[in-house]
Amino acid sequence: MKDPDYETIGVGTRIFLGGAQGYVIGEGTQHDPKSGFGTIMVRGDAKKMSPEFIRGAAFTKYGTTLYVGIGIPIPILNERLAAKAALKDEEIFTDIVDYGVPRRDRPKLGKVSYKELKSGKITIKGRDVKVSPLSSIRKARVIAETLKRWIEEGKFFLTAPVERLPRDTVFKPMKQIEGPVFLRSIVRPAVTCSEDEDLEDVASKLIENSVNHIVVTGPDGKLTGIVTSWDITKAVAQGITDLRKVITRKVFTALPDETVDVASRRMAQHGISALPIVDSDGRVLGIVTSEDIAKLLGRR
Amino acid sequence: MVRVLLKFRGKIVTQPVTSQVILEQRVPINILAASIDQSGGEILAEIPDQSAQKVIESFKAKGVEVKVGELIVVDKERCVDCGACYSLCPVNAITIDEEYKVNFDGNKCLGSTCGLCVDACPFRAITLVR
Repeated sequence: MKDPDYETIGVGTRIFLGGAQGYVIGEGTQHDPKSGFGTIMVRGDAKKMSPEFIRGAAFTKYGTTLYVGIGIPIPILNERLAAKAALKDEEIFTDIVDYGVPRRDRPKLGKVSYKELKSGKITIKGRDVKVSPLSSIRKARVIAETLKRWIEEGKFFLTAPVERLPRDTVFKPMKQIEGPVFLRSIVRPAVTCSEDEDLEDVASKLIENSVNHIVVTGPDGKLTGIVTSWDITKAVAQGITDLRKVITRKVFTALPDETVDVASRRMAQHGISALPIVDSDGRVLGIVTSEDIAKLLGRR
Repeated sequence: MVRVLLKFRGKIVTQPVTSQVILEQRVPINILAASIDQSGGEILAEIPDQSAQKVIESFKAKGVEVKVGELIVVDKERCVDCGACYSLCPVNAITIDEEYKVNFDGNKCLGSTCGLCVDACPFRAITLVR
């Protein structure tokens, strides 16, 4: 920010790194100079560093990370560099980004200056919101003072970059592509009955469990048929009382490691609204209905 | 005002203990935060200085565990003054001074009835006093 055009920062720039001396070896993976967010890749000798300036940390619900103290000396070689390095907090701006939106390309809520940020409070849509730095300003000052002392004492020599960091590249975040959803992850326990149950009992099972499909299983737990609420309605209308005459024997099934896409295509192809999920031996593991899939798609 | 953390365990949660103490001692007690269910819980309360001792004794006599003093402990070795906790504190007990040092005000802290800063600290420098 104090050298926004990377005139003095580039490959080979010697820096303060974790309490020792290190080097900039290139741009970082999320280097985005066009938006004013430069990042750097650095190298150093961890054995010479100090826990005062490099420390493991953890962000709840995010993961482990490393706090790395970095100090980059900016030589004031000319008036132009002096002017840029003299930028005040009120002249440096950044975006307010809404991280509540679970998308890579998050909406921006406005701009704030570093002066406003450092005041500990900003205004978003008319409301005061407290803000935290996350990186320690106090530590940054300790680093700046330490680096200054090293230079004054002749322990640290500035280097000119061998090559400047890129200034025209754009950082494009990778698009999050939805992975396949397997039936295993949405399968629900099936309501089952046996061949010799009364039609009435099966009808009340439908109502009790508020389902439309009952899977018929043999004593070994293997699938032998399926009964739907429509089958029962039809049977009642036709005066059929024997469950065996109502059961559909040719049942389309799916395996738990098939995808939702494959399952929904199979259902559409055969004009059915549910697939019993079975293992390779034909034992019933559960059921997936078109309703379940509709709910899943609705959540996306 | 004296800040006390009242811990209720076991059968006493069914008794109107706090009301009894207020009525018996005739002292206004300010409840700052409370979280209690059938299995027990805590109340963070403020008691006027002059009657603090007798109120605390009265709670203790009714089987309530009373804690006085710091509600959180900050490990200053671990803290790097990053300020992650600052914006979350609902009672402004955490402040950042001109030197960008993070300070904790024990007189405002809600302790275990809140605990937002504990999870927010990247260095796990803050612990609740149990």
